[in-house]
Amino acid sequence: MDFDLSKENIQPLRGGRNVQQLGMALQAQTSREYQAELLHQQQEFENLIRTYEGDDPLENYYNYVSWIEQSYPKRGHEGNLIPLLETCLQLFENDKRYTNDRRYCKLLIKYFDTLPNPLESYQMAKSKGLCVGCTDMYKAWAYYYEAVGDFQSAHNVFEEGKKNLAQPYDELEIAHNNMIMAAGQHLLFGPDETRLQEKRHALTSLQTHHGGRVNSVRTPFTGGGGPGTLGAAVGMMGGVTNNNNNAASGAVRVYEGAGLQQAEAAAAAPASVIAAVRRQDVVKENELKPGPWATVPVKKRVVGDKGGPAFTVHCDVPDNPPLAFSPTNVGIRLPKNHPRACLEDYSDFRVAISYPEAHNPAAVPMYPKARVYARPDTEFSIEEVRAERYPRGLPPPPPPLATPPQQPQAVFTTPRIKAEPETLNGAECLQGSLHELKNDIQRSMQTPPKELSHRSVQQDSPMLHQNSMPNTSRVVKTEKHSPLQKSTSLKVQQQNSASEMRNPFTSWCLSPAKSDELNIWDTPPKATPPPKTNFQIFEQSLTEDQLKAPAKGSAMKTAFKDLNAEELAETGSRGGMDIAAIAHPTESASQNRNENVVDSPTTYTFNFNLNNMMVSTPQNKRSVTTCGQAEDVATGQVKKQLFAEPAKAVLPLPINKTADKEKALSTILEETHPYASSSSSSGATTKSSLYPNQTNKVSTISEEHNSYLQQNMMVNAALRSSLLGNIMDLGTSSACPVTTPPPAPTAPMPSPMQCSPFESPARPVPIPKPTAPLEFVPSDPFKSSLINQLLERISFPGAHTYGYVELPFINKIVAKKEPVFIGQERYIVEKQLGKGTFGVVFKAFDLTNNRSVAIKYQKPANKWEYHICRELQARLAEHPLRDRFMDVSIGYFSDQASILISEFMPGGSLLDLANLHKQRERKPMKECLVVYFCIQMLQMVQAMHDVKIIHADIKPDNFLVFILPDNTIGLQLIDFGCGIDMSLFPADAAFTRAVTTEDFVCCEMLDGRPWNYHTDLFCVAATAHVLLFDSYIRLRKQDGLWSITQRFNRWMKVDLWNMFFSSLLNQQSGPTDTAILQAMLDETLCTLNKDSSTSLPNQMRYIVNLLKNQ
Amino acid sequence: MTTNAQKSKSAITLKGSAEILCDYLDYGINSILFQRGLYPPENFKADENYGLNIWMSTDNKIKEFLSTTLGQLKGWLVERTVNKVALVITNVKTLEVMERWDFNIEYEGDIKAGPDQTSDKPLKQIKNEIRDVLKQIASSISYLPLLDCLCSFDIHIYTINDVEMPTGWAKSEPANVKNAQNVKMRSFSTSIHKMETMVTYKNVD
Repeated sequence: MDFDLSKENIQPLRGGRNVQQLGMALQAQTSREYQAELLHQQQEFENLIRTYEGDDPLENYYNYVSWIEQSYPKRGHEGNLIPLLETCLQLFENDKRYTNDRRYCKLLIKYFDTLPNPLESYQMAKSKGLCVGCTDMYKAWAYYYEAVGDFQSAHNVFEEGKKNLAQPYDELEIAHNNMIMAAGQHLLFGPDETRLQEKRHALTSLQTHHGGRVNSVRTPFTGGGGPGTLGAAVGMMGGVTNNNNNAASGAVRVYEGAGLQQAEAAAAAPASVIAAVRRQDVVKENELKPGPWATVPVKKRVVGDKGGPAFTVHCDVPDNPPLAFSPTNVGIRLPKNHPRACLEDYSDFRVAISYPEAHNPAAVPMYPKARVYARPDTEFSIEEVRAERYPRGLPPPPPPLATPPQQPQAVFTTPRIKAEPETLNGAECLQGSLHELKNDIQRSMQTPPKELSHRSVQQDSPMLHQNSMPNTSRVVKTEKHSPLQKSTSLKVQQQNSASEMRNPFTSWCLSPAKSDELNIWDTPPKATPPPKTNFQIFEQSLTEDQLKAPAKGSAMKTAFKDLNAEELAETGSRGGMDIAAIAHPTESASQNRNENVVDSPTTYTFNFNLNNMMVSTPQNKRSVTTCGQAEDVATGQVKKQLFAEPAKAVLPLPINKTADKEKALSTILEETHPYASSSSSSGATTKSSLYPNQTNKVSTISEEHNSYLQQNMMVNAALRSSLLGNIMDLGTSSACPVTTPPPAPTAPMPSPMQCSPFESPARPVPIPKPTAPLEFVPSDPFKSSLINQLLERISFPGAHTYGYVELPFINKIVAKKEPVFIGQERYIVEKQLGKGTFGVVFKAFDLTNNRSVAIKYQKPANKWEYHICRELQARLAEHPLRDRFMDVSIGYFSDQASILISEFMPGGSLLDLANLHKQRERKPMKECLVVYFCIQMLQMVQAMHDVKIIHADIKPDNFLVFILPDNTIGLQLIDFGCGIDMSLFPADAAFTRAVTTEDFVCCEMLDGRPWNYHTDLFCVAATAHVLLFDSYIRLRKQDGLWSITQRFNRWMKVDLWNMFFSSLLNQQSGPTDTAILQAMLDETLCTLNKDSSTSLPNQMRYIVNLLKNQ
Repeated sequence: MTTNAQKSKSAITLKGSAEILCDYLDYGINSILFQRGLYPPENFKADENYGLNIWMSTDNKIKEFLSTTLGQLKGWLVERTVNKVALVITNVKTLEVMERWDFNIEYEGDIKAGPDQTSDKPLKQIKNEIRDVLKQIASSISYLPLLDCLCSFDIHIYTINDVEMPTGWAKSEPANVKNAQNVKMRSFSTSIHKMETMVTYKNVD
């Protein structure tokens, strides 16, 4: 990297710079391409900030700020760093989460460093209580004291930090000791101003950016001295502060006024530190006063005495009659004794405007001459003459210009204000805010100055940028209350809209509503988007009313309730059970939710539910009854967040089976073979008769398995001896679709191992070792601290050491022609395939093994994904679908970044395929293909769940497509970065953390209920939705039952899809069982195959060709 | 400084080449000590070489340390037993490695020629190459993090295994930087020795 030519333009950073980024930033100054890339990255960051909805919004800001620092090395205004810092800091200033957050503290320090008087700012921040628990804060603060040699104050700052137990405490102590040592040197060698002031050129900043104490003399510190323990430090406190009061230390105390103790006295912190700091530091655009344009002094011509100005502005002397000639009027100053030109006084001399003429009957004036010139010295205008007619007896009116401009407004203001009390009285419940609202309206209507103050209040809230008219803010306010006080707000809105119609200057800003959406879980969910026009407000509140009415109305709901109580349970509509379960506890919630669905026609939803009921078949009975029980339990416990004693009756058999595998691998493995190649899928009906007598036994088995290993062994024996047949049958019913290739009558059925496109990897697959699960269920399975804990628990990499490489460092990967070394292997990174939040995926060529690979570069290192991938491979060791899941051949890890090497799939993702298809055909995929993919996805998810792994990030781009040897398409699931290993959690653990992948958030998360396996099924439904309709899934909840808002086309298998979506969206708890659904899909595929235009083989051929010719 | 071998324009001997490398290391290390603020700036004075002003330490201890170390290194360079010299900057208090400067040495040309090996690369060209590297070292402060703690430095020399350890030397562990990021500088070569400079530093964010 060549920075030697531009090093003067690079601001050194406290934490160092990323060389790649620096190189790019420097190149961007000259190259357009890089500039565009930089802009693109910037936009990405801003987008991320704008669209973020999770619970750590600061993270994005922090990343963005670091990125700006890295990418705009000059630290100039082009990076817009300071405004961003200001926005960010102000935004989170009052956020309790970040009061002692280290990142927030760092940002704060960064901002204060740019200010002219950082000490005052620190003082203010402290009295506000910002970051008082962060060591960094005290270090930075004390530095400024130290820089001016005020060690006493610096010491006080550190003591303050110790008193507040700033974290990390040891760092604070080290810094304090350093400071004390520097103070000692200062004392020994005398106040060496030059040493402190003379910053070395290499480290001085382009701006006021102060480095550390690198230039003090380095003599090794010899322990001792300095308060080491907390007790001592606190004990010293009193004495120190007293000293400080009469401190006459030799140091220059520049910032005397901002001493610590003074801050204590003036404890009143400003409402917003940032705002206060900012106010002091407003950028003055033009400080020049208006004045002469030329800098050359104009020579003044002075006649007579030189005392006064040469030029006086002419001003009328209203009362005095105009003098014919006055020296002051002309601007010439004459001495006082200057003789007057004329001694006579003409002050009362007036020239008549008109001369009255004698009445001449021959001449007729065309205007009322006599009245216009009624007096000889005045002339009335025609209007005045006319006006005289109206107010009789009055003198001629004053000219119309003098009318106050507010008058016309006041005319229509008054009736409105009068009308208001009536509407307010009419409303039932009035809150204080509404009163304020009213006052606001009145105030702002009557007195313009108060409008101004009102507006300034609004500007204090960070989100408001552009509300120029007070009207807008008012409307938004009323919007907030609308769900509660509909009738009132409605009328107020009408009034507002009326006023706004006359007001052409209204400009809308969306932000206030946005701030509402942020804490959407706290407030009653309404999320009505801010209306664009006045009329829309009005309409919207109306539609809300309309919608609410049918939701409240008893007709629909009772119909459903009656049904689900008795009949639905029998007919087997799961949705009905949902309604029954949810209707009571969440009635109010669902009402609120209904308001969200503004555009849903009610008749349609009604139909939809009916469809659900019709779909039910006898096959469903088992799942319905058991699931119904489970849901009863589940819904009863929803509020407790955790399933303390979950419904074990529905523990799936497959899990049991894996447990067996762990215990006695050999036998069970043999037994798994038969079902790998066994019967067709249509056997579901016959098997259904077996269910009733099995469920009980299975449930006991699973319970015992969970408790005792010995008993488990017994159970295994029992299983094998007595129940084996049944179990195997059951196993097949759930697993047989897994291996059944699409029932294409023409295509021969390949054995599962053949359809693998890869050779099974040469590396040994370790036997999965069971790890004792955690005792508790965390709310957030993705939290990094938890992940680290789990990694420790499994003693990562555990058994998966083959292909695990630790490196001291991993450099950033960029696509370039020359080979790069990663560890011992050489790769040519060819191009970037994709980019996610945490990592970048490249296509590369592995020179060591001569194959194309996909490189996933992640920063920070993601050991978890490696673990999940390997664990999945190990647990599915003998499973036919093993290679349907991404495998990691090599994982490189440093403490900073990680690189995962996996097979490169030229086919691209399912999303690519869908897009390609759409591009060629101008319409979404044929139904049969979607059915086929659904079966595939369900099989894979089932297999994955059977070994207790949740993917948690299923979406079309995470399925790669490849062509199987028999010219059908297979899917491979990738990206296990969010994977959850359920075997590490207690049985039936459920989580509460809501994932924020847009459009792939499962219903439980939307409801705020705990979730586990179901998220994957939901995501499969969402993926299917994308394939089927070419649009992302849109949900609505009707009577506690989630459904999609998309309408089906008439040729579609509506029954199938209704069943498909309703069961996948509403599977409430418990593990996955997709057998029924798969059977249904298979059946549909068979019927579709009967018609050649819709048959799968034809479509498959087409799409395979599409892929091959790509 | 320069030997007769270097002055004669025809060829650079193996010894001369080792001398060039040691000169470079002397200037390079001094420059790093100055740029990274390990010692107070008033202990340095500018010295002109390679067409640059390079700040050299005036501290006798440092001078002595460097001259003994580099003198020893010179012998090893002639014997071709060294493959890397590392300047390790550590935090005095915590003994944490803050930064490491690696000078990798490769042997080029006709190695079998033994001590008689010569190179006819012009000295001026070599010096220009060295100048470029030194410039890069000086510009490294634009991306290296601030060392805001007391730091000391140490020099590690990586040799092949069968080298006798002279007195005053001790074996040491490799100094690895946590959270490392590394930057390669340009390299220069005398056609006998090739030196590649690299800095590894702690990435804070």
